[in-house]
Amino acid sequence: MPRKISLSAGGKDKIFYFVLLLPAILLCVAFIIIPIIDSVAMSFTTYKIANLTSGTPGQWNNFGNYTRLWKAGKLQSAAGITIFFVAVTVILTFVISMTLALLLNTKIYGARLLRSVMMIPWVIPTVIAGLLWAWIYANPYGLLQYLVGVFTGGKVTGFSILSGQNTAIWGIIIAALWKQIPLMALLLLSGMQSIPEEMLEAATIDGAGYFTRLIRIIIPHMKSVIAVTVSMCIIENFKQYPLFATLTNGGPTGATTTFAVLSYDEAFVNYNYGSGAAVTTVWLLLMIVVVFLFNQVFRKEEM
Amino acid sequence: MKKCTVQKILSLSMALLLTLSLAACGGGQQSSAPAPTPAPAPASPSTPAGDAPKEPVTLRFYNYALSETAKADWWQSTIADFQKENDWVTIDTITVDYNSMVSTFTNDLASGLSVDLVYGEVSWVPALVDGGFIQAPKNVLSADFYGGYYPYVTDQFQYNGDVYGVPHYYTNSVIFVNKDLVIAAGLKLEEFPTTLDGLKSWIETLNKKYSGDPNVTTTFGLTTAEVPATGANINAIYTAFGGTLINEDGTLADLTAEPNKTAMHEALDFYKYLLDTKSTQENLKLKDYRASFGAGNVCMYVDSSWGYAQIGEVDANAKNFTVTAPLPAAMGTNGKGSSLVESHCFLMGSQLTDAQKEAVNLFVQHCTKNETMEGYLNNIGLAFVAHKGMESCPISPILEGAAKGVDNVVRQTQIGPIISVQTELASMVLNYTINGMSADDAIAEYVKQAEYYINQ
Repeated sequence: MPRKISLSAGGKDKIFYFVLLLPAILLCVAFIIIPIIDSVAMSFTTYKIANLTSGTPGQWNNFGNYTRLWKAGKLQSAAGITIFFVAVTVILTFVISMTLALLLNTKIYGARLLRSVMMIPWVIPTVIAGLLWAWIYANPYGLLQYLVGVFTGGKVTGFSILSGQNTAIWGIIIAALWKQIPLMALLLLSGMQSIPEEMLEAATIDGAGYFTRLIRIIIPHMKSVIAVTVSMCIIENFKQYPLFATLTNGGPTGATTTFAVLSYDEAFVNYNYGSGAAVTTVWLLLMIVVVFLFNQVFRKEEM
Repeated sequence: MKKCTVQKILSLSMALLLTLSLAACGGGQQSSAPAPTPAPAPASPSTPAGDAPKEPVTLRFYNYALSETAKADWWQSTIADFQKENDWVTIDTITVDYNSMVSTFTNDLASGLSVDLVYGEVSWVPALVDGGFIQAPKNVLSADFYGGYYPYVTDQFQYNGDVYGVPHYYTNSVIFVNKDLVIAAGLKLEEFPTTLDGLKSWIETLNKKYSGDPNVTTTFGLTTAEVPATGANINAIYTAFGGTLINEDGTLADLTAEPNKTAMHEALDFYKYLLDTKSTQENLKLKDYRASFGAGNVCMYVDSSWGYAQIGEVDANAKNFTVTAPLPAAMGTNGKGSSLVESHCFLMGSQLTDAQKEAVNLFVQHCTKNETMEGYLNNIGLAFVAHKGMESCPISPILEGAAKGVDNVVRQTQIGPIISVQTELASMVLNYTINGMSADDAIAEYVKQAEYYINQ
């Protein structure tokens, strides 16, 4: 006589949880895991338009895409520019956002209005923001060029921030700051407002000054908010493409060619999808490493 | 029933619903996408006397020009006229972005949509042939009509041993001249320079006249921004200096051997001269020069003839001060007036049915006749005619000056990565003129980058 298999209540619950999770798991596998595996596999092949249109698989090229990109110096250059852009943008975004959040957390006149106005750059689509800044930076009729002319008494004419090899990246950083600071400032502000008022009052009564309260109470209480917002900011800037596409398209002479720009150029300008996938793979790995390191550092500090 | 059980049933139902909706997302595409065959068209096609009734045919026509207002209006009215004459044909127009046409075609094909006819540029040919999107027009157009195209223009469409497109019209690089500014500087248009030295002498005269004048920003504009249009423009200047960029076999020409070496050095020196004397501006796109020229701030600049469309958008009366001239016939040591051709063109889908081929043949002929094109070539996109059937179509008075420059057209060999190989020329110019590289180093770096794209 066949034995009846019976499950304990815990076992039944586990199956039930798994069934509930199944749609999310399927979603992740279908739309995240499989495309990533497909992209990584493609990065080891010669995969051109004909492969795409005829549905034929790419040809294994023995790491050819990676070595070609490396020998041409494109991977190293893109990595350097991407890391510089991410580091500078994230640090400046955090410092300025924190300052703004601290200001907005005081009872300054017009703080509510300021909070609403601050949202404007954030709600504007990034491509539109890029075009807006392209007009500001435009040569020869841009606002920036005009202001530089006015403030230098006409000594500097024809200043074009996006044309210079060393200045172009700063033009994009300024636009990225303008776009990203509002959200981070508001997230930090909400974290700041969750700190118990009594604790700050007690510290004040005990003689703690503003900076002592900031360093000893406010920042430690905001660590989880800071960790999340800075991680989001790192990821956002690692994958930044619209601002580069609208402002410089990677130029001048490759000075703003990040992984995002390089990947697009390889895949959709030169129609070398295998090479584009190779850039994407390195880009993804680097982003994972940076976010992992950041979280490790934060976790250590918490301990 | 227990509360806990109800919650579990509800949760399971939600999970099931989500799973089913995901499955539904994946399954709908195939059945909803139209097949790449003729779609239903007008209900009662007319029957010309003596002809059998024609099957309704639909053409999916991808046209980048539809994103430009003036051109879009012209295309809509031309298509409407054609459909009135041929009511068995329906033309579905699709605006395709200049920089993403291959992605658009690939996605559309994957969705079961056909690419029947494309209006684009010569530089698109290699990618579209490699992708299997287009076929040779000799398979589609009637032999008589096809034979009417000027060979020196259709030659530009050669790729992998066949011709893969037909020009609507063409241009070479022309100099747009603001005659008011030039005459005010004491120069005579009828004595427009025919040598590089003569051109430099004119530029110096203009620089003297307009130095410190805030209303004149450029005396002789050349584009150096790193975009495809600039790459083609720089290649044209280098060709005018007597150089060749791509060999017949599709390899990069030897830029260290004569005459290419001298041509490239002289071209680079010309760019440096213009930037050093502030005659031109750093890193500007053609569209920037078009806007400045239309605003009356530029004495001369080099562009394709159809750049006038954007000049005219800035000032509708720009024709009153605009004339054109060819690049000097004697540019440097080896320049003999050679010029490269650019053209807006028709590219024909590789999956056309016989009925669609007939419709494409009629439509291209409709778009390439005097009555259709006269207004366009004179008011919207100034250019030269490319078909014998349009020989009597008058060209715009603005283009008369530049017409002398089309006598010595040379063929640009088409290669897959032509856009990147040409765009890298802009980086080379910037490396030499702005970044302080020597000419030899800038050229060596260019060769490295160009080889990277060619050998991929």
